[in-house]
Amino acid sequence: MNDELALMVVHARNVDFAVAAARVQEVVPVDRWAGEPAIDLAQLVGVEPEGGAVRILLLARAGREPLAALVSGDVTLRHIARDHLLPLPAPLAAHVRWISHVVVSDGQQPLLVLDAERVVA
Amino acid sequence: MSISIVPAKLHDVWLVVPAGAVQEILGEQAWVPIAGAPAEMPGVIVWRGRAVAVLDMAPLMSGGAPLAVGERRRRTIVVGVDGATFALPVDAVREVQELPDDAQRPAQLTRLRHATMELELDGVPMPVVDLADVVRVLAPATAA
Repeated sequence: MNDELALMVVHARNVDFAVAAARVQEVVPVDRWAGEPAIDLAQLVGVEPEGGAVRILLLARAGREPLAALVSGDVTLRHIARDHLLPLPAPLAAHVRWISHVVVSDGQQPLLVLDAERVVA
Repeated sequence: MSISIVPAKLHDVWLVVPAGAVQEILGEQAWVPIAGAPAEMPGVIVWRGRAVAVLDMAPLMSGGAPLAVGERRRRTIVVGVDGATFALPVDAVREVQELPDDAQRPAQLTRLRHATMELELDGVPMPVVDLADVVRVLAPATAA
């Protein structure tokens, strides 16, 4: 098993958020997007976006249509060691099903990892 | 029979936590806010290599200001409840106290949600937090 997970990380103020890169089928500039209304991931995770280019990430979901997720600002690819992915504690996961893990590293903003299967549009 | 308790201060209120639930008392801890979580459980800290839910008692107090994003309290009590672990940020903690079992009485002078009992220490009435009851309400799926 690969010891690292590739994540597409969206930078926001105070906290970053990410989805598994393997889920990202396509990145589309918002002005070229003609599909269904997209869910705003920054709004979902309650963070203030940094501003900048607005894009749609098409996220693959098992047995369902891809999810259109709107993000703005810098999006970068980051490899995280799997043992740095801390599962959200069960008492919190019961309330915030769309966040699967948190990553806290020295000198970096906390990172919230979203579960595309549980992000409900 | 006696009971062991850990008195903790939050804002201007002293409350007590059963000592048997306490796993560690830490200093000030940075925490990660999780939007969409209940005010009483606003985020996580990292403890012993895992993420632990923050349990803020302030919203349970009448007029208690909840932990704000970026705010830290001077002490953090790590407790185990029904197989889950929680971090309670507080302003101060005193040493463990051993009291006779009958020191507890039904709450009359204190008001704190999830505290039906109280006791008096050095003349100060303090609610006894029923952590299992807090967890039952906030995270019913994880309570044993």
